[in-house]
Amino acid sequence: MKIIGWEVKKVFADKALWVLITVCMALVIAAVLPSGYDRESLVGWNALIAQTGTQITPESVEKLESAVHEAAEKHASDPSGYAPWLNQTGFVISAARSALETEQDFAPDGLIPAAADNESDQTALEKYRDRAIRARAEQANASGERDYFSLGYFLSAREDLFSLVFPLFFAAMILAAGYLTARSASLEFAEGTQQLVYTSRHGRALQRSKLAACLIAVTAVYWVCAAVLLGAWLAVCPQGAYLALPFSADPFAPGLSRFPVSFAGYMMLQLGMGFLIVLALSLLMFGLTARGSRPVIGIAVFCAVGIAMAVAGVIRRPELFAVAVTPVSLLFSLSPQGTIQLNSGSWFCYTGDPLSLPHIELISVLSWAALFALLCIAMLRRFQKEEVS
Amino acid sequence: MLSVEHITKKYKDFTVLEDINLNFENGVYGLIAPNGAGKTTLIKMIVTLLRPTQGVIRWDGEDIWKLDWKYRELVGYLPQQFGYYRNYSPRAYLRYISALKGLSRSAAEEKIPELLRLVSLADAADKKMKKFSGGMIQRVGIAQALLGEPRLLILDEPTAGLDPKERAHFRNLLASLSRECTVIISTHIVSDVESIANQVILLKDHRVLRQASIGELCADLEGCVYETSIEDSRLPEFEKKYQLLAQRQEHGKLAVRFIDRAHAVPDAVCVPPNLEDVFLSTYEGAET
Repeated sequence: MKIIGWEVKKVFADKALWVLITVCMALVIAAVLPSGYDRESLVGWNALIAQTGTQITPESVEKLESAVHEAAEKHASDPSGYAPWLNQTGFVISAARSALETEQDFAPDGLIPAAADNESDQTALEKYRDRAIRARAEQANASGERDYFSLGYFLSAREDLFSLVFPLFFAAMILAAGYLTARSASLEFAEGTQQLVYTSRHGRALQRSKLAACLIAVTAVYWVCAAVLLGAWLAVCPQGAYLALPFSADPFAPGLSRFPVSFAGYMMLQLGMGFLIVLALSLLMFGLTARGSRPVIGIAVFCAVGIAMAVAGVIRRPELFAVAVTPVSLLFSLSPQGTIQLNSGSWFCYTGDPLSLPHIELISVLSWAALFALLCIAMLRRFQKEEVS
Repeated sequence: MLSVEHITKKYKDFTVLEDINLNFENGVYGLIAPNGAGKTTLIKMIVTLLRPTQGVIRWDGEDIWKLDWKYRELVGYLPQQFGYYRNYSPRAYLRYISALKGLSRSAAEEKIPELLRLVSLADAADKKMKKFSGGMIQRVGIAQALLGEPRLLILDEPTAGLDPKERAHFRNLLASLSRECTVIISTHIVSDVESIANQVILLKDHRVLRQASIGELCADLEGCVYETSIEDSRLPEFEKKYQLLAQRQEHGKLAVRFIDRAHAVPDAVCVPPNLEDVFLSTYEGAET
């Protein structure tokens, strides 16, 4: 334990790591700032729906209509008071009315047979949407709630979060963790202390302590940065009631998430998955650089594996392997097809593929982590007995 | 104690050491050879950085690789190229090495100030080592080697960068330590071991040429080392006839020290041989 503590201190004493993290996080935070239009729109709607209540009811729709008319008249008399959200009012009010009129259709019993009857004639996309609607119906039925924020017109900022900000954050953390791990694993060779360190009593077990220290450091860096990211996002984006709403992963087909999870819960789920990916890749990097004498070779292998997996991602069956190759290809997305994997918004969603396993993301990441852990164990066992020059 | 048995080390077709047999007990051992003779390779095998291609090294009869950490905890080692963490202070560095050596915190906190005083670094104990001179770094290296009271102390070119006073201080320290432990000093600077080594090991042509006391080694040259003064112009001719050991200008002439087994220079004075004479006569022609 004493040596692990020393190794953690050595990791955090590296100024280059802090510079890297700061630069990466600055880029991620810059991406958090949504476009002015989206933010203004959300601010406007949040203010408006605070007056009407978040639930879609006949009374709230009437209140909403009168508030919108009032704002529009105000805008007519003073053009400088234009609010971007006014452009969306027509869609939202008609969607709310539509939701009220079709409330009974959200019962799953009505939809599932309809989808099943026409299954043979439907295209893959239609099947996909049917599943989405069915899921949304199940969610709505279970929660008994109908909410303005679930209508899909408020999702642009959320979409930015899951298709841009989070993937950027994961890439930044993979970069930081990769650097941190490679640097720690090969530090003695870089500083020329290997001959001294590896002849001491605990020297040959030092790499084990280093691995533990790296995982501790990666965990600390990841969650501190995640807290900074969430803090920045919560500060920039207006806080409405939608954090507690059932989450819809796809803005074009609400209700795609496979699990009954709130918006805030989905964010944490994503961060949790991202954390597992970062840990798995840290294990890979450690395994590749643990022998230390030539970390560049390890880093090159790390990149080669990533590129190979990205290429594999290009020729994959998109639905089944979209997440299966996610860990490394997060960094090395080389093609438009590859960017599907970068988009963490597709995690925990219906893939439309009947062969897809229920927990494919988790299975995928844990499989990779287990594989990389085996690599680390093999390297550590070898290091125990090998020559140090 | 430590025994090196039929050790051979090869890198592909190149043999660095061949059939080395040595025994070490308490005392100071000087491992002397020119650069490239395999001293550092032998040292690295003794401290388990390298594995022999053939043969075995034993501590108290057991293979050191099988003993693993039980052997390593007995060893204090100063490598030839002593790496360090530039942002550490000597105190922090010694604390880290103490942890690696398995010393308890209290034992380390008791020993570290004592060692820092011993190597005259008490005043610089908390300064970052990146600002240190080569000599100061070397002293930190010596201090870390002494941590944990090793029973086998192995020092590869330990006096590099030390001034004469520090070298003398260091030699006295090793002499006092050698009562209770085995000290192996690898060097090509013979004066480092001349006054303190109980035994000297000479390596030549990848093998052990001789393991003997300084007295025994010098006895081989007894009556063969002379000193005389010659004109500068006679030097080339002199060098052809005799093996020149040293020369210096003195009263307008050249004072030379040389080996003459036939006593052919009438006015030359026979002087007692020293270890440097042995070294130079042994490695005549070798690049030192």
